Amino acid sequence: MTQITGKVFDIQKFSINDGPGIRTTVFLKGCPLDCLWCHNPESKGGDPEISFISEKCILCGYCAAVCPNKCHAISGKGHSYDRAKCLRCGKCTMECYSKALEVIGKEMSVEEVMSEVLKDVPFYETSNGGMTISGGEPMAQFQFTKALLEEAKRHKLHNCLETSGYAPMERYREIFRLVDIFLFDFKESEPARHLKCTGVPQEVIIRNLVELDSLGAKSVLRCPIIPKINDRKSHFKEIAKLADRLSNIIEINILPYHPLGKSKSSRIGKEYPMSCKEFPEDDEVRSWIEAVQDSTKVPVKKG
Amino acid sequence: MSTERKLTARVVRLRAELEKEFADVRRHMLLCDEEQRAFAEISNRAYAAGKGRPEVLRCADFLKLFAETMPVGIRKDELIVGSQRFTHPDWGRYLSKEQLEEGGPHSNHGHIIVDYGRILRRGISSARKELKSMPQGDNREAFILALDAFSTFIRRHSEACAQAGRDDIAAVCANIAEKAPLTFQEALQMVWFIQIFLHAEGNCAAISFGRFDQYLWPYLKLELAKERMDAGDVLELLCCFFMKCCEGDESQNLVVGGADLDGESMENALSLLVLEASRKIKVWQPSISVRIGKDVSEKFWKEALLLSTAGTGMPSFFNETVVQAGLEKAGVPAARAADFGIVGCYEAAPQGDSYPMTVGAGVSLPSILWDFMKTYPGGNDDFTNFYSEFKSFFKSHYEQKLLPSFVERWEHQKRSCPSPFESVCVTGCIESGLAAEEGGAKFNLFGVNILGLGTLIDSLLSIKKLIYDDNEFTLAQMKEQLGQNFPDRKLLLRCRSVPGKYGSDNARTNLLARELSTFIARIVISKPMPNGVRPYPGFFWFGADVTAKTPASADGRMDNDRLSYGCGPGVFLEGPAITSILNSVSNMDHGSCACGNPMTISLDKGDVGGKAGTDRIRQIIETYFSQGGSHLQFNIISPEDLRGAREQPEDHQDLTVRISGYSARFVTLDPRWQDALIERAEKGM
Repeated sequence: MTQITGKVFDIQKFSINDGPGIRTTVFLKGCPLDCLWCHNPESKGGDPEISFISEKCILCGYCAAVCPNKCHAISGKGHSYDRAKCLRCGKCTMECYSKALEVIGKEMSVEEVMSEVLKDVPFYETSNGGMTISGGEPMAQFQFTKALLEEAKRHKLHNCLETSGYAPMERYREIFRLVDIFLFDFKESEPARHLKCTGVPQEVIIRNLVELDSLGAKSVLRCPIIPKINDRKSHFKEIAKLADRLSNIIEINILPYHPLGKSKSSRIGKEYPMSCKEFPEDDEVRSWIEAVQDSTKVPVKKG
Repeated sequence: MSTERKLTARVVRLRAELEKEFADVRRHMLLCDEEQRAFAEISNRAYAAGKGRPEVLRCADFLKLFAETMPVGIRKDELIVGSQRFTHPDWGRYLSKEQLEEGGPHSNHGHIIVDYGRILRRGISSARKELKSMPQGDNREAFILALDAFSTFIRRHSEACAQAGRDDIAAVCANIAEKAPLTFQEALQMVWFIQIFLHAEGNCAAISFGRFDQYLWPYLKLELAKERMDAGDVLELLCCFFMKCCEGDESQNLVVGGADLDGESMENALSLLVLEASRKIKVWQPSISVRIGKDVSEKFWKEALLLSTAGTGMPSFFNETVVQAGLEKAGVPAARAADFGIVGCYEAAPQGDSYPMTVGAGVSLPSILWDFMKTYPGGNDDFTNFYSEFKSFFKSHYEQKLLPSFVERWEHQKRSCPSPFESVCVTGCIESGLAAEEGGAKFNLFGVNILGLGTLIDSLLSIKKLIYDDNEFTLAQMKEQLGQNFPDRKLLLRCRSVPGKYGSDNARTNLLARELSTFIARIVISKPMPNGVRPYPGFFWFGADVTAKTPASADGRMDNDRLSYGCGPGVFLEGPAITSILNSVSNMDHGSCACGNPMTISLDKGDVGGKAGTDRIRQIIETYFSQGGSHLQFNIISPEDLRGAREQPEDHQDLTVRISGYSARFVTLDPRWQDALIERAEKGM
C-alpha cells in the first residue's frame, strides 16, 4: 500500500446526496476556488484549522492553562480566543472535553482512510453505493485522490468524484477510468461573473467537462443556485444547454443555497461574504428546477 | 390491489370521535370513568367475597361477576363491539402475598399470546367439552366457570346490540356465544372478546395478538373466494378493530408476514391489508410488527415501507431466522420457534402454546459493575485482570443471587395469579391440567431483561483507558468519584471524552461488545430453572433506561441519569452516522436474545421521501439483518419537531412517536421520556 498521505477534514458515513446509494464521502482539505457562498469554508485552506464553537464552551479554562501562546482567555465576559497569536498546535483541543475547540483537518494515509471507508461495504452492497471523494477540491491533492480511487477500485467499490472542474486536463485523463461518476460543478454561465464569484476562470472548467464526456466519463452536473447571484433565467437556460452537449450525463442536480457556511465561517474565525442568510423557499427551488427542465430532456433533480 | 383505497365514511367518523376522546383523556390509552369505577367495584367485590378460596377459583368467580354485571353496550357506528376502557388502580402492580390476600384483583403481568386460532376453530362449546375431560379439581372447576362466563359476556353483548337496534352485530355475537365463528367478522369479533376478557382477568398490559394474518386467514380467504367481502370491507373492519385496540392497553403486538418451518412464505392478502389499515387509520395501537425472512415479496416490502414512512413509528422489523435461533437456544423446538409472535414490545415467543413471562426480571449491568468495583481492591493489576474478575463476579452474582430470585418470582406468580381464562386459551394447560402460571403451557420461558449494555461497554472503555492504559487516575480515585457522583468536573468530562465508544464502529470495541454480550447471554440461557422453565435474555428492560435509579458510572454518567437504550450505544456517543451505529450493534450476540434486542433509528423526513427514500429504509434493514441484527424500527421525525411539540403541545396533539416497543402520542409522555426521545433523535437513534 502506498505511503501517500492527504489532508482530510471529514469522513462522512451514510452519505445519501453525493451519488447513488448509501455512500461514504471523504472530504479533502484545500480548494483553489474562493466561492462567495462556500458552504464548507473550513475546507478552503490546505492546513489544519482550529474550530471554536462558543455555545459549547463551559468556561472550564483548561485550554488557557495549556496554550503555549496565551491565545485563550476566560473571564466574566466569556471565552476570548486570539486567532492572530494562534500557532495551531492543537494542544487546547486535547484538553477541551466539551468539544468547543476542535482541530479541523487531519493528515491521513490512504490505508487509514480506506479502513474507514471499507467498514460500510455491507451498506454499499445492498444499496449500490460506494465512496465519494469531495472537498475542498480533491484534484488539489491529486496524488492522494488518485491513490484513494485506485485502492477503492481494488476493493471493487463504486467511485464518485466531486469536482469543481478546475484542474489540469491531463490529471483528469489520468484518473477518469477510476471514477464511475463525476459530480461535476457548474456554478456560473457568464465567464466574467464566474471569475468574480469564484475567483477562477470558467472556460477551462467547461473544456474539461466536455472532454471528459467525450472520453466516455459519466457525469452529474451539480449546479448551486444562489439567490441574487445566479438565479437568472439565462443561467438556467445555459445549464440546460451545457447538459445537452454531453452524451454521458446522468442528471442535473440543483443545489439550493444553504446558509450553513456562515456559522462554519465564524467558527474558524473567518468573514462570511454573503448577505443572503435564509434557506430559499421550497416553491422557489421548485421553480428553478422547472426552469431548467423546461429547456432539456436530461432529468433535473434537487441535489 | 390499489393502495389509493380511501377510508369509509364510517371509519372517518369513528376516527374523528376517537381523536376527540383522546383530547379529553390526554393519555395514550383510552379509558372511561364509568367503566373504570364499575370494573374496580366488581373486582374488589368478587375478590373480597372469595377470600380464602383457592386463587384460581377466586379469579373465576371474579370473571363470572364481571361477565354478568359489567356494563356493556355498543357505540354509534361500531362494527366491532365490546369495550376495554378500564383498568384497576392496581393495574400491573406487583402485589405481595399479604396484599393479594387482602383482596384486590390479580395482576398476572399480561405479556402473552394465547392460541387464538384454536379457540376460533373450536368455539366455546367444543372447548367446554375438552374441559370436561380434565381431572376433577379446582382448575377444572375454575376453567369451566371462566369459559361459561366468557359465553355469558358475549351473549350480553348480543342482547345489548339487539336493544340498540344493531341486529347485524347482535347476530354476529349470538353466532359465536357458543359456536365457532364462521365468517371473518365473527372471527375478528371473537378475537376482540378474547382480548377484553384476558385484559379484565390479567389486569395488565401487552396481551398480544401473535400471527394475526395466519389464524384469521382461513376465514378471510373463504369470504374473498365467495365474494362476500371485498378488500374495502376488510379494511373497514380492520380499522374498526385497530381503533378498539387503543382502549385500555398500550402494547398489544400484532405480527404479520414470515415463513413456516420450511421457509415457505406465509404472506397473504390479510398481511398486506393489516399494513395498509395501520397506515391509513394512523392510530397508535396495535403495535404492528413484521417478520422479515428470505422470501419477502415485493408487495409486502412496499406496504411495510409505506407504513414505516407514515409517521407512527411502525412497523417493527424482526429478522426471522435470528429470532428463531434465539428461541431454539432457549429450548423451543424448531417447529414451534418458527411460529413465533412478538409479545409486548420486542419479545419473541411461540404463539399460543407458551407462557413466556417476558418481563420476568430486570438485570442492570451498570449497577452490577458498580457493585463489583466496590468489592474489587485493584492495585498491581492490569485491565485484563479487572475485566476477567468482573466477569467472574457477574457469573457468580447471576447464579447465586439473580437466578434464585427468578425462581422465587416464578413461584410467586404461580401462587398468586393462576388465571383460568388465559389457561383455557393457552395450549397445553387443558392437557396438563395446570394453569399457565403453574407451568401448564407447552413451553415455559422466563424473560431476563438486561439493561445498560452500552453504558457498561463505555464504562469499561473508560476504566481501561484512564486507569490502566494512561494512568490518569487510580481505581481508588475513580471509585471515590463515582461514589460521590463526580465532584471533580474534569474527571467527569475526561470520562465522557474517551474515544472509541460503542456505536462508533471501532474494531476493538466491536469485539468487546461481541464477547461481552455473548458471555452474558450464554450464562442466562444455559441455566434452566425448575419446572422446565427456561430463562431467555434480551438486552432490553422496558422504561428502566429512563426511570431506574442507577449510580454514577465510569462513562461519565451521573447518578440517576439515563442509561443506554436496548442493545444500542451509550448516552455519550456523538457524531457517528447510523451505518456506524448499526455496524457496531450488529456485533451483539443477537442469535441468543429472543427476548428482544431492540434498535431504533431516527431518520429525517427528507431522507425517506419518495421511492428512493423507502428503498433506503429497506437497504438499511437488509444490511443490518444480513450482518445478524435481530430487530430494527424507525422514527421518522426531526428533533426540532419533537422540541416544538414539547413547547407547544396544543399544536402537536397528533404527533405519534415510537417511544419504545410501542408508539404513543408524544404530548402524553412524561417529560423525562420526551427528553430522552429528543436526545436520541439528535443522534439518529
